[in-house]
Amino acid sequence: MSRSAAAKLAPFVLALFVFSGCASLQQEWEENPKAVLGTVIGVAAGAGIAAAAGGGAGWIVGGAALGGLLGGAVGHGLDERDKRLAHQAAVNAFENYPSGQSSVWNNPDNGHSGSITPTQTYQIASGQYCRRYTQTIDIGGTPQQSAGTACRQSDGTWKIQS
Amino acid sequence: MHKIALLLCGALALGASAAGADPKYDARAAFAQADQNKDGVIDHQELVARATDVFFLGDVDKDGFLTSAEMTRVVVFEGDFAAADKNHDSKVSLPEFAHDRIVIFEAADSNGDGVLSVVEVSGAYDRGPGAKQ
Repeated sequence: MSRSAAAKLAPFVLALFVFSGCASLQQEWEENPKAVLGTVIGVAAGAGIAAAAGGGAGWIVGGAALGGLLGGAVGHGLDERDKRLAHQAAVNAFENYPSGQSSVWNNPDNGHSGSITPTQTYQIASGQYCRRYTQTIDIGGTPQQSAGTACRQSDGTWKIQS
Repeated sequence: MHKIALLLCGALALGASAAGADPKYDARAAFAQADQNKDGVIDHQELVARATDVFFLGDVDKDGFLTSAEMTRVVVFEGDFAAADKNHDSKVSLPEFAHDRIVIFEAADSNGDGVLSVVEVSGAYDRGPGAKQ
């Protein structure tokens, strides 16, 4: 198995180990606290995310570029107000909402709407927070769904990683 | 025992506040929010996920640690910070916080089945601070 493939599988292997059941969680913690935290710290976040969070290609939510959040087919057909509303909803969700709670937006001018929902929060080795999310955008009654990961930068903006 | 309910409720309160609702403690509602797969119990994975959310939302300055003030805001229990701050550096890291929650989880798991039912969580909440079981 290549190193990259192993890195991709690591979160799933760790998750299986951590939550396999027999031993108590406390016992598992005593034996291997990093594994227990594997799903919430950088160990299981994936080397790709950890590396990307510190730099490289990405899109800043909170700045001008929104392509990572609304790029491709998902963003096709959105006007500038849609994008601004989606952007505000995303920042609010990433910054303030617990996993599972949706931040919604609606543009009364054209009927376009959307929601973004954090699904998992974790911390990478640097202490930086990342959040996985799902997003739905409804244009003309046709919902389009996407998912990705955003990591919080030191200046308070969020960078879309995938 | 009371702490696990407060952990869950603390997260609920944060979420409710973010949504503009009146934040109040409701153990059963908090349980429902923590039970992500809706199977009627909170398992280890859901506990760790919840603890991470609580930690993140409580970390106001997003420096990666909870101060005493930040942690009090989240868990609403004065003894939590000292208990969680294992290395006595006056701040609580995510691993320290998660460990504290794990200890509480296991204490609340009265039947030892490795998961928390709504009865175990709401029972712990109803018994109030200081209750052992």
